[in-house]
Amino acid sequence: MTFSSPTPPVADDNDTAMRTELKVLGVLALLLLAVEGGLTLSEDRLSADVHHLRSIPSLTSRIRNREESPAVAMQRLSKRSAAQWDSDATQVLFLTSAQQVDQFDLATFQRDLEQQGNRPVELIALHPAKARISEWSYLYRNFVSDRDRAPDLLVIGFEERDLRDAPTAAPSELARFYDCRLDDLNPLSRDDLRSVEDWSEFMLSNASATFTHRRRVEQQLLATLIPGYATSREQIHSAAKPPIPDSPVAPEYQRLQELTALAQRDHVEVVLVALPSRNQAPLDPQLIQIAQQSQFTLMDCRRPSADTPAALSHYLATWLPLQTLLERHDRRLIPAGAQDTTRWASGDRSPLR
Amino acid sequence: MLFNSFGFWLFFVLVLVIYQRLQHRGQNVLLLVASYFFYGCWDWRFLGLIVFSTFVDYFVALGIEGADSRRRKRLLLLVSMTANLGLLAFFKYYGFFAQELTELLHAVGAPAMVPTLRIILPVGISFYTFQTMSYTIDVYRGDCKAARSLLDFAVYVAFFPQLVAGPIERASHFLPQVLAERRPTAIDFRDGLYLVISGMFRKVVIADNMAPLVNTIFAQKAAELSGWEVMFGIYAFAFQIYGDFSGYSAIARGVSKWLGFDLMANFHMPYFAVSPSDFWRRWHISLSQWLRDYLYIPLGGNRGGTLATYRNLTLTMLLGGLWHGANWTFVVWGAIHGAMLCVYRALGDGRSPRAEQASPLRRVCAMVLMFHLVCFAWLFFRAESLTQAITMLGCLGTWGAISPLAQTVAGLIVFFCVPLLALEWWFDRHHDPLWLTQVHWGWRTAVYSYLILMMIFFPPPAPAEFIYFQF
Repeated sequence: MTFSSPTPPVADDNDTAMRTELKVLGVLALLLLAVEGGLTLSEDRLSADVHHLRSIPSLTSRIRNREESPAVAMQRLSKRSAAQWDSDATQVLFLTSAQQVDQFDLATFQRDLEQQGNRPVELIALHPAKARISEWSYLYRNFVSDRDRAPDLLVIGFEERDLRDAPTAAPSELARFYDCRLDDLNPLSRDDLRSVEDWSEFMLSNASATFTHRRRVEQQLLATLIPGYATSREQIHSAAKPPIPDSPVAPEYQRLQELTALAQRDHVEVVLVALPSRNQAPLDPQLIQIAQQSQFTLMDCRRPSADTPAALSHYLATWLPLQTLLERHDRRLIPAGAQDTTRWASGDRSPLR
Repeated sequence: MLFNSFGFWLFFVLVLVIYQRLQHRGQNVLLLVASYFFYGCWDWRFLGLIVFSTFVDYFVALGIEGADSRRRKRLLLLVSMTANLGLLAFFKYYGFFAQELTELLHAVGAPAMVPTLRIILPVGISFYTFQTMSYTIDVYRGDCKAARSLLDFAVYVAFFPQLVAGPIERASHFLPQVLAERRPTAIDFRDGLYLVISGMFRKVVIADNMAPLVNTIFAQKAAELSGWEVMFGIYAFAFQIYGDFSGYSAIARGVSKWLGFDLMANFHMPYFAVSPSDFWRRWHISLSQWLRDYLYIPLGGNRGGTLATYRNLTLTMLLGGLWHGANWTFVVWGAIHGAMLCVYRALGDGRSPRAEQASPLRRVCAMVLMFHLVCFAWLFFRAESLTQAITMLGCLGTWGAISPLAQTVAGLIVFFCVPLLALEWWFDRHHDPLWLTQVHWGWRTAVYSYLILMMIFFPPPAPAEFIYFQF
């Protein structure tokens, strides 16, 4: 193909024009296919977050099959408590976001949990970027519950409004990494994909790595090419987003309730941990009420006496009532055995109540 | 339903598929239904205004054509003007003038009895009222014949690609296309493809990526900004508004081509203008021609002597500014452009094409100067208030070190906008905005590849509405 300089305008014939435009479109399609192929092959290297998202299936495959769960096994055998079931480590599934997990030292957290519970602990931490209740719900449902797996403990580390009902901020990610399929149609259409735009983004991301990763490529290129971009990016992006209005309507927690109900159905003990944040406002009363009604543990750790990842991990491990939870985990099989276990780790440090 | 949304393209593909299978009358019925649906997606309640405007001008134009006396024709024209301008005045300007009058009355100590209402501005009202008014005036002047079919006329008023942000089409140009059989050709497809891709690039890549930069700078306290930040912020806005509006117009023209219509060009590389009058031959051409034909010339144009010409220029531009919205910032923007046109004329250049025929170096200097004068006016256009605009102007006196924000804004302007300018420079040299459709297909493929990859890989942080929808 040679086109060293633009040729002067020539009289167009309709058929020639159509053939030429089809050639143009054909080459464009080939180019896009090449880009798609390149990105599909190299998506793991795009960012640490993609690498983590891609590793979710293998991480969750470590979780024991539900039939092998100590609690269920105990129910079957009716002889041994989960605490006595020491041939296997206690499995803790820790769901949080990449922004929050940076505050932790996961190795310290695991070691201190082991010391506190006096038994081996296997910590499986899933922390996709900007994940919140919608992403955690799909993670648990699609990679744990639907695959007949059940950890002993599900710990969800959240910040501020993370647990409130709200549509996902990234339909692309749901499509590509969260294994959302036809059986997720109900939560998808009800909660996350509320417009033609959301559905289109979801479908395109399902089909195309290029579409899913376009913002990652953008951020990397701009950070490399534009001086000062890394410093002022947050300032500029926050100007692009409309402010979240303080709704006069009480926040709702339907998705959280669904998630905890699913976990409890799987005989998994649920712990919600409010992680350190600048927000000093009290936790939503609706959330506390749900915690009491649904009998899961809610810990307020927003003002820790710790300022390093290791110290924070130690602090959280200390305050996580592992032994009590595991006992409760055993007792859950007895209808009257469950207790209200809301725990306050900051402020007045009152004991379990 | 925005042109840069998946919803619009699903809608358009559906319309296009049905459209191709219909005969002429069926096509017009489909276009009308699709146009009303398109508009109704914003707010179906305001469909009534379009229908009202359509009925009034349809029957008034028929009445004018059938009237046997000049007096009766004039009376009917007055009915149309009152109806259209009345709609515009109520929905667009009532709140502004009521508030200004209330403040004036307060200032002089008189009780303010003016009721203030919170009125929603119907999308595109300024565009379709100007379009229907131009039709009635043209029929009154005998420049065009009244439409016999209400359906055809309704399609002229509500044609969805240009309904909410123009171009403001003249009946003499557009109505014959509604009346004629339309079979889009491969050349229409080719031209439409170029217009849609280039329009989407300007909207999605240029305008929507400039928008957060502009918002960041204009949201800061003006006194805390440095000269660099203000300057780059205004540059960013210049490209944002150009990308936004010219992008919309190009997409409107492109999808119209695919339907077999030819809309007028609304932009012609305005930042290569070498003088104020050259700028207005390149920027929002359909509005500037409307103002020229229906305001400037009826006021007397340049026929009444120097002072009268200056008065007419200033009045036209002031009203052009006010057309954009009920705010003093728009009035000042119009006044600045009016003053530029007057000064240019006073310097003698208005009567001779010297700047346009100057040496390349002089032309480049004239372009740079003109760009900065236009940017100066954009500051008032974008500012929330005159106070903000003046305070930001004051910041241009304090320079100092370039902050990371200023560096980022400058870097992003260079990254996104310079390739666009280079491309336009190439087209401008050939005096043909559709030059790319005439060159070897390899060049076209290369340019399309760049535009499409930029659209894919540089999506804006958040898609924004078209700025001109609010006008």
